[in-house]
Amino acid sequence: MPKILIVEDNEGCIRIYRNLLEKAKGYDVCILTKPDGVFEKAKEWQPHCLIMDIGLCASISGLDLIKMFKADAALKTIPLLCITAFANVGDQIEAAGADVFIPKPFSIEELLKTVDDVMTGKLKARG
Amino acid sequence: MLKALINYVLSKMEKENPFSGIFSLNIVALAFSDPAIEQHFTKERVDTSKPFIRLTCIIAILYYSAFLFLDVYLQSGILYQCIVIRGLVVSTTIYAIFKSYQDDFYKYVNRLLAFSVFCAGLGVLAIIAISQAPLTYLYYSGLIMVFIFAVFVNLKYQHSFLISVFTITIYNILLFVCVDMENLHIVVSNVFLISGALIFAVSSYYQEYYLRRSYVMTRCFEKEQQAKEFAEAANRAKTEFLTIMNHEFRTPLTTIRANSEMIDLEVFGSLAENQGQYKELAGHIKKSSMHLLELINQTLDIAKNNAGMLSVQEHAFDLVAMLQDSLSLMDGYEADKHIHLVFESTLTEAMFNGDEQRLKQAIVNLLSNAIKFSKTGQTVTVILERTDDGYAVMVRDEGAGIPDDDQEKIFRPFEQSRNAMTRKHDGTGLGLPFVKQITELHRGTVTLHSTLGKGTMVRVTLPVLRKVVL
Repeated sequence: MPKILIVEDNEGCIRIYRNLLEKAKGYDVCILTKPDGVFEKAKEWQPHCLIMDIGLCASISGLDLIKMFKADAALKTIPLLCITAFANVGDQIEAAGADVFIPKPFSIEELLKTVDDVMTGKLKARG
Repeated sequence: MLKALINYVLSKMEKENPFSGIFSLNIVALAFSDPAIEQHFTKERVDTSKPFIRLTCIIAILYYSAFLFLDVYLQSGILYQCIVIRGLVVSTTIYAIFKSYQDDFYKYVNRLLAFSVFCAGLGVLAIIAISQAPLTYLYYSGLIMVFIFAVFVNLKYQHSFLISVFTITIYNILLFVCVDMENLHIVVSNVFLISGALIFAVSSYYQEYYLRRSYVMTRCFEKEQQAKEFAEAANRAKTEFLTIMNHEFRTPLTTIRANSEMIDLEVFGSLAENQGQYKELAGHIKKSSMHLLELINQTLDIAKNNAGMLSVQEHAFDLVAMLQDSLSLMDGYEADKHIHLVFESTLTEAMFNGDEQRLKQAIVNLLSNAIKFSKTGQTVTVILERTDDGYAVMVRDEGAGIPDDDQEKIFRPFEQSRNAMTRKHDGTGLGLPFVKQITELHRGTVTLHSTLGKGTMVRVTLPVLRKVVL
């Protein structure tokens, strides 16, 4: 079963991922509400993609987290989908190394298509 | 006439009068109209020129003492008297140096130095009075040295001028009463003394005028810099605030859009067969819509209040019921934290005239903050008490506490919005400013008591505005 690791702290968005990706689409979804431990979880669980909310209320900035993720040889091949409610930061997020940037409020069709592209191999991590 | 003359001279020198507004200056007395500014100027001037004043005093002492050699050579008959006179004069100057090390020196600096200079003048006059002719005329030049001392020691020009006038007057009285001097020497000495007095008075005036001008220019430049920095900070805060508001609006919009699309696309199968699941999605849409509406209302209320246009819709309501209702609204808020919500009050009913909806929103803001900053399993308590003039509502948590430096800032709108991408907590930063503004519209106060690691208590007082039904 395709596995998706998600880092998201907003309760409403967590419910969307549960309903859409887990219940409706049947993906194996693991959600972390904090970025702490995401690297270890990704290495251990080997998800097909990582969906990460940028601008998480944490001690480390989302952009730094992307850079660290992509700098890790064991993780950089996992497609990284970054989602954020901050406008006009797409360039910074992609420059930091994210494979896809999806701004909130996202269309579920767009999200599903991106996830499908990852699962079918059309969309690969930039490495 | 003196004022007109000074005005005329200054108008030829200055294109624009630098002394305007709060820095207006009496050009004859050379004093700022505002006593606070005058005091600040004097303090600053004295503080910066203290080393120079001391140096001038030391040079004056050395000069005054050195002229004892002249006494030995010219006035050997009255040498003892000369030593006593010079000793007394030097003592007053040493006293001035000693006093300059005290913090309040600026308060009496002019009087003290004027006294010291005047004593120096009187000392010369005393020697002239008791000296032996025909070489007495040589001593008048000592008075010119005294005038120079007055200029270098930064004496106010009026003091400097008055000392010159008194000294010259006494000098002429002495010549008339007891000193035997040739007419030519009397004329020559007076010409030099009067010319010297006038030159040094004008010199003192310009010296002080330009010191004051420089002071005003510096203050104006600082004010301009402050205004510029304030405007830049306000602009940055506005941009950050817009970024945060954008984020805060987009988050509930995401829930609304995604859930409505899930219903529209029937992601769980047909609507008819999965009504329960779709109803749950509709519930999320409703909750997010309400949250969005609250955000918009609070933002508008803050903007209205800043524009002085916010008014409260008053009616009598029960504070106990309102607080219990607010607590029930928090059920399920950050449910995974399992926060215990407790209401404490000996009152069963507390009727109050006020804006129930806005006060409830303020309490909800306090509660959501308290829960947000609490750890799993901690308790958040709401306390209602009767006070002398009304009621007090306390919201207490056992969370991380707020650092002293931030305690004042968090009540200012937009403060939380700094560094949007790296901030540690969610939210617009408008919650506490809203609480403060709504409380103050009810003529109440908000106080914060917080200890790091132990928790925070916000106390809102609500004085009874009009009629209270107990």
